[in-house]
Amino acid sequence: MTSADWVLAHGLGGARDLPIPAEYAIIGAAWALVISFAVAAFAWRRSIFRGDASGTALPRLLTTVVDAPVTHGVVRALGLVASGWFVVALLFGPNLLTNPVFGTFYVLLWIGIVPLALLLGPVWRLLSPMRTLHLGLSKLLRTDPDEGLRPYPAWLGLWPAAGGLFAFVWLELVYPRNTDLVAVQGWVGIYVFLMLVGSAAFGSVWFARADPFEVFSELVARLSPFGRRTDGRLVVRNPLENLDGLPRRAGLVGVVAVLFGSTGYDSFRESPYWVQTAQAYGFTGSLVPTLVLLGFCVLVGTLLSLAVIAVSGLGHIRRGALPTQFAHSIVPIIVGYFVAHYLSTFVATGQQTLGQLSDPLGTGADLLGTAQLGANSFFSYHVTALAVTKVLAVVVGHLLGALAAHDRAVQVLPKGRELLGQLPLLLVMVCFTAGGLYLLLAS
Amino acid sequence: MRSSARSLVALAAVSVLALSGCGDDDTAAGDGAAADGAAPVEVEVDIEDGSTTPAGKRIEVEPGQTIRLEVDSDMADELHLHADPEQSFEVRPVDDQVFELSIDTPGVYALESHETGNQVLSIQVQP
Repeated sequence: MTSADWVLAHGLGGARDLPIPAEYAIIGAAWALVISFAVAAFAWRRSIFRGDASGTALPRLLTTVVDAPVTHGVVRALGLVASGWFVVALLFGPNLLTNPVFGTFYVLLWIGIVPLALLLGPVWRLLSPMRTLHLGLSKLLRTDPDEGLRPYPAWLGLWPAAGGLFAFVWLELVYPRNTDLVAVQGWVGIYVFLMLVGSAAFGSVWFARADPFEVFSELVARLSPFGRRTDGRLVVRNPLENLDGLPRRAGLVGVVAVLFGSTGYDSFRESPYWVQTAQAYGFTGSLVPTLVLLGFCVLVGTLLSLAVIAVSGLGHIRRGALPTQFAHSIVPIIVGYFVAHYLSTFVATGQQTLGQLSDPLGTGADLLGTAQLGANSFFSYHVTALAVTKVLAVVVGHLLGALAAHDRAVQVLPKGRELLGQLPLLLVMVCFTAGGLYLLLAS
Repeated sequence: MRSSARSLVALAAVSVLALSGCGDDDTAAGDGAAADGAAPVEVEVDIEDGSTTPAGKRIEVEPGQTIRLEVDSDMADELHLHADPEQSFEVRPVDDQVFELSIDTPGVYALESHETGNQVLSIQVQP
């Protein structure tokens, strides 16, 4: 092994965050508990969120500008240029950690989806290079981009995206050679192939159901203060109203389970307990970590489903559909943990990647003038600020999740069961928070 | 019942403000001088039969504090600190080798053994 190979085996980034101090975790957990039960006991008893019907209209001019074909064209072009830059580095750049591919893929793209969607809403739909490619191919072949060979089956819902998201977190968190260029080339190759084949078969709806990045982005965009009202106007609205409008599709539970479970697994795999156990039993390959990652995701999905199904008690609600009705309440918790878990990486490695992107082929070029940028060590020296931010993110995420679940409960549960009915779900949510904070504390 | 929802949100906002007030006592960069007086931390490392002892133990040090590794090994190996910049130490198949390292930037760092693939130590640099 050369020293470059050696670095490859380690993954991105040098140091990891310090564990958060116990007192912050305890304060956070206590707040989460208090808030949960306050919501269940004192908050509103009739559903107040109106989903996509809600919102204060922004000036008509803004809607016109945003919807203008030229705007769409410019954003699509931006997406193509950025992806083209990435693909050049992916295909022709050196197989070294200094190749910007790794930071772009695992940090700027994966973590960056969250702030982008929170600030601007579902822009991935326009930035998506695969959507643009599909549009171009359809134009070339004179076919309707929305039409495929057959209609997309409703029962399949978001399950393909859940699978794609699992494939991504598996590569990021389990696959030992995830910073070997070949691994990313392979993953992206399969992704491009599946996107092209699926969109040819089902039309552009395939991207909304199967593209892991688009589905993730659409999910987080539901927590942004911006949205589109049922009358087509762009509006500013309470993020909880926005979240309420998230379509309740099959497979939504799978998507939130993978996103939330994998974040938990990422903390767990770095904890001294797991490192020592895995090494003591020789779990060095990918089999056991794959099973543990899968276990985390299945555990989240199962707990959520069981808690919700335990809710109903009465016959006249279709129990099987209930987990999907409540899955949206996990979205703020996912975003909370994403902030808690990835904020320092995003700032440190994100800035480093901006520097590396200036030299995509490893030739010493400085095409963007950013080559001098190294890792940003701000959070290495502001450990208290980081710890407080982490706990706040988790607690605020939990608070929003509890409010969303409460409103949905009083909306869909039978009269007389609304309060008692949501206790199992609240219990599970408190378990998630305690478990999440414990992992942040321990790792 | 919208008002109770609003007051809950207000309550949360107040707690957010209160908690963020705690964030001002951060340790500033560059005061690692405190560690100059701290005695070195000594850790015995055994590399034997393709495995290491310890294997993933967490130790806590101050920024800049010296960590003295006392290594007994039955094989040639390389110990490697997963940090930026990297630090690595060539291990020979003999007993009583001593390596010293120190880390200035707070965080959690993995010290790994190249040949066995083990994480030997998890070094928590706590200001």
